Amino acid sequence: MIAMLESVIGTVLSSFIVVIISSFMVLVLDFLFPSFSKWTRMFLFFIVLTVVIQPAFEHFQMIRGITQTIASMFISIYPLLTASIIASGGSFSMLNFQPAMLLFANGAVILSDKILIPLLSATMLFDILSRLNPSIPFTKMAELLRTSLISLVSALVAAYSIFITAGGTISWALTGVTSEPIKELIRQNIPLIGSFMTDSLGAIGRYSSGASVFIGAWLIITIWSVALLPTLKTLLTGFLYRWTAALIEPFANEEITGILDDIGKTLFVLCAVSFLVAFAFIYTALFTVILVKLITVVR
Amino acid sequence: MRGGLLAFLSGLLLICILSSVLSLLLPGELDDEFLPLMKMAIGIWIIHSITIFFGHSLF
Amino acid sequence: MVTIFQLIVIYLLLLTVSFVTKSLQPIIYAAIFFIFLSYVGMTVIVPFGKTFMQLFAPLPGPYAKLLIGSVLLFYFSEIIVKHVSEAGYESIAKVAHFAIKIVILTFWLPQLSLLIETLSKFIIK
Repeated sequence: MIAMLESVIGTVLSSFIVVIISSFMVLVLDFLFPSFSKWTRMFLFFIVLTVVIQPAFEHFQMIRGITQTIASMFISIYPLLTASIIASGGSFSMLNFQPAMLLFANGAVILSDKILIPLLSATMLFDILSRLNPSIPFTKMAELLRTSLISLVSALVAAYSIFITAGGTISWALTGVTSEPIKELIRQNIPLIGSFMTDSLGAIGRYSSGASVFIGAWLIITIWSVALLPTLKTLLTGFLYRWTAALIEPFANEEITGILDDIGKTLFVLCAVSFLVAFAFIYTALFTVILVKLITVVR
Repeated sequence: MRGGLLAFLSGLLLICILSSVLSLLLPGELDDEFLPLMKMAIGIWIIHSITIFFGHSLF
Repeated sequence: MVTIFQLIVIYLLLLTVSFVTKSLQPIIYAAIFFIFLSYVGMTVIVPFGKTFMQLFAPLPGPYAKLLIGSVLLFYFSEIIVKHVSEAGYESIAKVAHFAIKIVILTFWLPQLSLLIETLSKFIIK
């Protein structure tokens, strides 16, 4: 956990420090040449853009790569899974396995690969353009894209939770006293995606605690860390962006803090998307593992 | 930690009061011209305090 | 109160000078301006700055001293620049003002370089 934190901070910290130093430089230049301030503002904007866009874009590419691997995995596994469900019959009923769920997860992954990530890139572009020239704003467009993405994702999650509660005989081991305050805390602190995060975490927990009867806890933990680590990294990076924006707001230009804030917001939406993908990944991985176990046990 | 936070906040308050009083004393457009220096004072103070807070764990 | 009285006296004096000798007026005006400026600076502005610094003494570091000192320097420089540019030598005044600004920034330079040094340590790591 600490190593992950360090790696995340290490990737973005240097670019944020460049932003801070260049905003100090701009303050000095503004003091010396007040009539040149428009030019210095433009230069600062380009410096910040070249430095700050890179880590955010790496996250985009990371999530895109993960979704592509998961989509190909689904497509290769899905026929096998359905065939073996039909073959084995009753042995799966204890897990409340639903083929529709798998199909749904597959659809979500393809959706996020084909639609969500291009839309998010477009959102970021709109944000940058409207900050670059405030008299030609695209802010409404960017906000619309973000909110529609969020609503799409939350509709998907609602559908997920319907599936889960319809067949959800397996209860999450962590419900009750320990988890509720944490869920509430997350929900309040990350208003945009907080409730989505807690819901999907609960769903993942419910499934994996049921499955851990069959497979060892270490495997569950491995699957969790493989699927959730990129998501947590994205979330942390988004927080660092917003944190830096809050930190440098008193002395930096308004455009700079605004663009950092916008990138942070977009990364939060990306984090919601990658939660969806992680959920699909965990679901598939668990069922593949259970399938292999059952086949070996039957023999 | 708590003492450090207190020092940070009181320093912030004092710098803000100081700079607003100074901008009251300066006439008209001189105020705008002097603004970057005040911003620089606040910025140096903030970054300095932050590095004191988290420096021991980052270095 | 005393300052306003002095201002009125100086204004009347300048009016009389402009009435008596039209050609000598600029140089007398300049001389009276500098005398008045140094007088006000000594009696009002510098003591006020000192009490102001004592007021903000709890502020750790040299920030209060730096801010007040640079504000005073900036203000004096601006006033003199205005006076010189009223006489018609605007470009010389601009150059002098720019030099004063650089002097003010050199006061800040140790703080700034310390800060950038600490920040660049993070980048190198």
